[in-house]
Amino acid sequence: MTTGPSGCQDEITHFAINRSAGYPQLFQLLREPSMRDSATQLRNSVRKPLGLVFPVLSFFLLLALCSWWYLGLSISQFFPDLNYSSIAKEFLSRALSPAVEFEGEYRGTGWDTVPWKAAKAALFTVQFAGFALTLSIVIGGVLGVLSSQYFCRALAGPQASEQARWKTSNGIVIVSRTVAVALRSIHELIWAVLFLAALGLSNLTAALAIALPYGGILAKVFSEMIDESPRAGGEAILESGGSGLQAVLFGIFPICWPDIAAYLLYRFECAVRSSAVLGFFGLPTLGYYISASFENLYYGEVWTYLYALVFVVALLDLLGRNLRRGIDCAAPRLD
Amino acid sequence: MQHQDSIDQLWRDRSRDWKRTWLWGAFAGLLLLSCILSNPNFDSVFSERRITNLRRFLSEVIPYPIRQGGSVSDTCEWFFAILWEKGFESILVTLAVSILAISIAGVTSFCLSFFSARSLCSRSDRRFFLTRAAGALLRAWFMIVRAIPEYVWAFLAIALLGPGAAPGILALAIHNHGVLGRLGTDLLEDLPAKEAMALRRIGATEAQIAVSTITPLVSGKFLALVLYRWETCLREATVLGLLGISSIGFWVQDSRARNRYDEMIVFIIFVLMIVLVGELVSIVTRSIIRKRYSERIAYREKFTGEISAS
Repeated sequence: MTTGPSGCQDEITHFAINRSAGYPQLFQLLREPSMRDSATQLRNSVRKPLGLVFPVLSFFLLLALCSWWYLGLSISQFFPDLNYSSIAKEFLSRALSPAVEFEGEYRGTGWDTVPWKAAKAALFTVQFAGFALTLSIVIGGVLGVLSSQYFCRALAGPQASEQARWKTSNGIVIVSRTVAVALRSIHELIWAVLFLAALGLSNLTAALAIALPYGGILAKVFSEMIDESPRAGGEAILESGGSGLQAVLFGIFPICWPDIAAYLLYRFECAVRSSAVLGFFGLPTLGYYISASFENLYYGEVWTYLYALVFVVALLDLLGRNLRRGIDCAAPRLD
Repeated sequence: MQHQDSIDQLWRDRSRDWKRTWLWGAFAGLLLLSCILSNPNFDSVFSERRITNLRRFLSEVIPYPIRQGGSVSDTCEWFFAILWEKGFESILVTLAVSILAISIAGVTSFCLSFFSARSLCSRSDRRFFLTRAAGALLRAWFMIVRAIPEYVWAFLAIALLGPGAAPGILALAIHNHGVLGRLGTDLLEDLPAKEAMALRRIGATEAQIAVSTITPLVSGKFLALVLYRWETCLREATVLGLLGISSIGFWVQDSRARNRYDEMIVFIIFVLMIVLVGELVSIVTRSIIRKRYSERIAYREKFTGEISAS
């Protein structure tokens, strides 16, 4: 066994795998003088990565305390007062008994029940989310390719000098990145309020309200993937006379399409949630029926629509996870 | 071309996975179908009435001082008056709400994700049945809580708790608790198993392993996830104002309702400013962490590399 950090590791690993040994032998090993330096180094290397976590954590908690004081909150504000508020009591008591028949004066016949209406609304939500996602793929694709350094450098042509490439690339990249940041910083509901004021809310404008910020987010993701992918294929295409667009589409995109596809599945789930929320503004998705039933005080129907929303999103999440396991993508950071 | 035959042969021999192709083709087909079904009536959007509406809107977006014939300095005065009266307080409220919400969500989900990670709570011993069942229940809980968007949670919370910042914080905290729980579970399941395995063979209990070894390994990455989610929390906190909390969204809705579109644009600019501040903070923090840890991470990588090689 060699001494030094690697030697220490060999001993300990060998010892841990060999189950017949016990604690005293481990301590004996670590106390030997030849092992001491490496043991200390091993201990230091394990402890220190925690070093910055406590300062950041305490800073965050300090900020949280300041926020608590600034907002003037108290713990009782976080719990519904069940003696005082009958809304809370009635609403929470219907949690386990969602409505199957309509609670108002309307009486449907045959299939026309609340779960059926919830199913139709859920289907419309998913369909609308698909529409919004398609628009956002178009926007995000164009912006993403334009804001990637690789594509803009390749635009100058394979024979151009390094300086010419730098000149063309920087302007385009900066402009399109700024546009993408501006698009994605504004929440889709604020875009919806803007479109409501400017154009009135229709299918297309509501889909654009979701598609514009999602396009900005997709542009950032696409440009990062294009810039961080291995470039061998793209270089080969550029050298054999292809244009920059061909290099990106046929050289780089096939390498990173599993990650892009996984991210698109996650974005689809987000789009379903966003289009459900747009229902609060009048679009006939699940959010519309939730807000309408709540304001009519039909709490059972509200729970039915909530369960339908949870079911749809959970289904999409499971589908996404199964599909992602089938393709070979690096574990994507998804939430 | 002399190599055309070999190129054709390569193309014919490419690996084809029909199941994968069918699945992704179905996904793309569904997207196309949803486009067609949504009936985007492009003509109606650009009809006469809407164009006049749009023109009127754009004319009203021009700031009030300029419309009255004032100068640029008048416009700046008007801008800073809005910032002073309504902007500062709502920006601070937005920041406060987002920080409180993400702190509550981070702490609770960190504790709970230890119990829902499959690598920590499921073994084939019979006495682990309860732990496995609890883990599955927790994963389902994170899923359900995550599926309901923050806006819906806030709508319900405001209806149940009354207006104020507390229901907004609760709503954001609950949703992000679900999100961070799912992310933390994935993080814990993807950890390299060598350290935990070695300690288990020595005879440490699961709780000892979790506290001594896994917490240091995971807390750095979990903090990075919390910072990442904080940016989203900030965006959502601005929008929760549309429901009545006094963050920026409230003033956006208020100025739209009064048909003061120039003020609405000013508040949207404030939203942009807040989000950019959030991104700046996270970039700075990430570069600090990366700078301090690059050497130590390299040293640790050398160790783990040698363990896995031996």
